[in-house]
Amino acid sequence: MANIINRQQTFSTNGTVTAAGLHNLIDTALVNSAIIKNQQEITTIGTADLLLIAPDSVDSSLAPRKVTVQNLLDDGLTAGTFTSLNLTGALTYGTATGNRTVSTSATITTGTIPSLTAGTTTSTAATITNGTITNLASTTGTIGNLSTTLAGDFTISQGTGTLGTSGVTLGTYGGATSVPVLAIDAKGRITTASTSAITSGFTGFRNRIINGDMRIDQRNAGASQTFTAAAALAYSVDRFYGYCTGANVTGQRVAGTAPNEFAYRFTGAASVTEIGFGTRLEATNTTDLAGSTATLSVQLANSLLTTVTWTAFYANTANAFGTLASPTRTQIATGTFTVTSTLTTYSAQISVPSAATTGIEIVFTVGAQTSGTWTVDNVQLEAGSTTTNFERRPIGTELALCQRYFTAYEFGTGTDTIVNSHLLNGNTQSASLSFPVTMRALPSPAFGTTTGTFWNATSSAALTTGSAAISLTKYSFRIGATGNPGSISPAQLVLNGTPTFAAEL
Amino acid sequence: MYKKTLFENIVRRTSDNVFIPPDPANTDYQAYLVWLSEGNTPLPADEPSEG
Repeated sequence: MANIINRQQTFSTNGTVTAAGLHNLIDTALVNSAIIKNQQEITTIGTADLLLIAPDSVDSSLAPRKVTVQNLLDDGLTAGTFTSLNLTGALTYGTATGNRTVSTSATITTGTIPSLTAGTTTSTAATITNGTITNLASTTGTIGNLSTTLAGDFTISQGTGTLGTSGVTLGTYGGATSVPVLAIDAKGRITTASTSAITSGFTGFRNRIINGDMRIDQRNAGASQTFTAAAALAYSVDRFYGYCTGANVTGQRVAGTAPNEFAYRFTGAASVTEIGFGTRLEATNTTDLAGSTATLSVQLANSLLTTVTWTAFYANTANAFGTLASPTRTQIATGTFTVTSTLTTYSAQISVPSAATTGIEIVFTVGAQTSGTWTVDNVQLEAGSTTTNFERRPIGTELALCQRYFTAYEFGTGTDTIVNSHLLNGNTQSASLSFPVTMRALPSPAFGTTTGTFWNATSSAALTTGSAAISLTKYSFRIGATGNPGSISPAQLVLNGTPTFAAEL
Repeated sequence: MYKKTLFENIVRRTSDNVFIPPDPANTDYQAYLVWLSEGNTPLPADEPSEG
C-alpha cells in the first residue's frame, strides 16, 4: 500500500517526538486521497456497482476510478425499461466519441421528448431524419406539425394530410343527356371519369323526325323511284319527299352502312341542277320547340359534291306548307354541311322562333348532281342544343307513326283478301276496311292497279275504281262498285293490288 | 285535272287516279281548292251504269 500519512511532518533519527509534532502529523493526513488512488480502475459498471463522486480538486492521478457520465449512460441504457424518464435537455444520439445505440427494446412509456435529434445535430424542433418507427401507439396525445413521406396515396406535410390525386380531371360528369362513366379502384377512388350520351333507341321519342332512318318504304318497298324534273314534290320513303330540277333523277332506299339498316340514295344525272329531299313535321309534334333551341343532325355522303344545304321552315298556317311551286312557309334558318364520300354525321343548332307553332319542315338540297350519288340517313331533330345518337324506335312503332300519314295495303294477287260487302242500294255493292291507325286527315285514296271483284252465290261483277263510290273517315274507307253484281246480299269483295291512302303534309 | 265522282263530294285527280276527299286538312284537297280558285272546273262524274 502506498503512503497514507502526510510525510511533511518529519522526525529526526533518535530525535524527540513532541506532542506538537504528533498533532501536526494527524492534522495534515490525507487518508481519502490515498484510498481512492489505490483502487482498481474499471471500464464497465454493473448494477451492483456504486458511483463514488469525487470533488473537482481530486485529479485523475488521485481519483482513477471516476467514470464519465457518457460512459455511464452508455452502459446503463443498453438494456432495461425506464418507466418514467424525463429528459429536460437535449438527448443527443451520436457524439464525437462514437454512436450510441438505444436498444430496440427501449420503451418510453411516459414522458416528453422536447428536442430529439437523430444524427449529429440538435435542433429545437424534434426531427427524425432517418429511421423507422415500427409501432407507434398512443391512446392520448397529439403529433403536431408532422411532416413525413408515406408509401402510398396519402402524404402529411406540416401537419396537413393530403390525398394523392387519382388521375381524374376535376369537374362534373353527366347531365340531362349523358351519364357518367366511372372507373373505381379497390380503395373506392374514381380513377377515370368520362360521359356517355344516353343512346338507348327505345326511350324518349327524342327524334321528332319520323322514319329518319329510312326503314319504312310503303310506296316503293326499296324499288327505284324516278323524280320528274320541275314536277311537284313526290313522296318516296315514308314521310320524306324528293324533287329535282334540270333533269330527272332516281332515288331509292338502299342498304345502310352498319349499324344502319337502310339509307336513301339519289343517283345523279346529266343536266341536273338541284335535288331536294325533305320532310314536314306536324304542328302537334313540334309546337313545344317554338321559342327554344333544337338540334338537327343527319348522316350524309356524296360521291360528287361537297356541299349539302339544309334549311328549316315553319308553316304559315298550321300544317299547310303549300306546294313546291307555291310554298306557304317561312324560313327559320339555313346552313351548309361540307361532306365527303364517306357517310358522316353532321349537326346544327336551330333557334326556333316562338311563331313556329304551325309545323316544321326540314329540307336538304344539293346543286348540280350530274353524276355520282347522294346518300342521306339518320335524320334527327331534337329539343336542346346537344346532338345525341340517332334514336332507333321499334319497327312497329315507326310504322304506326308513318301510317298516320300514309297507309298502303298489300292485297297481293290471290283471292284470299276478302272483306264482306253488302248491297248499298239497287246498283251498288259496298265493302269497308279500317285503317291500321287513325289518319291525320281524311286520306286521299289511290287504287292504281288495284282490282276487285264482288262475288255472291250466283254471279260476280268487277270493281271499277274509276267510277267507284267511296266514303272516307280518318278511321276507315268504304268502297262500292256501281252496277248490280247480284241481288243477294251480303256478298264478298276480293281485292288485289296495293291501294294506298295518303294524308301527308 | 280533276273529275267529280258519284259519292260525297269526292273528286278524282285524273293524272294518277287519286281520290280526294273534301277535308281542308288534306293537302291534295288544298291543292284542289287552289286549282278551283284559278278558275278551273272539274269534269262531271260518270253516270252510274245499270248492271
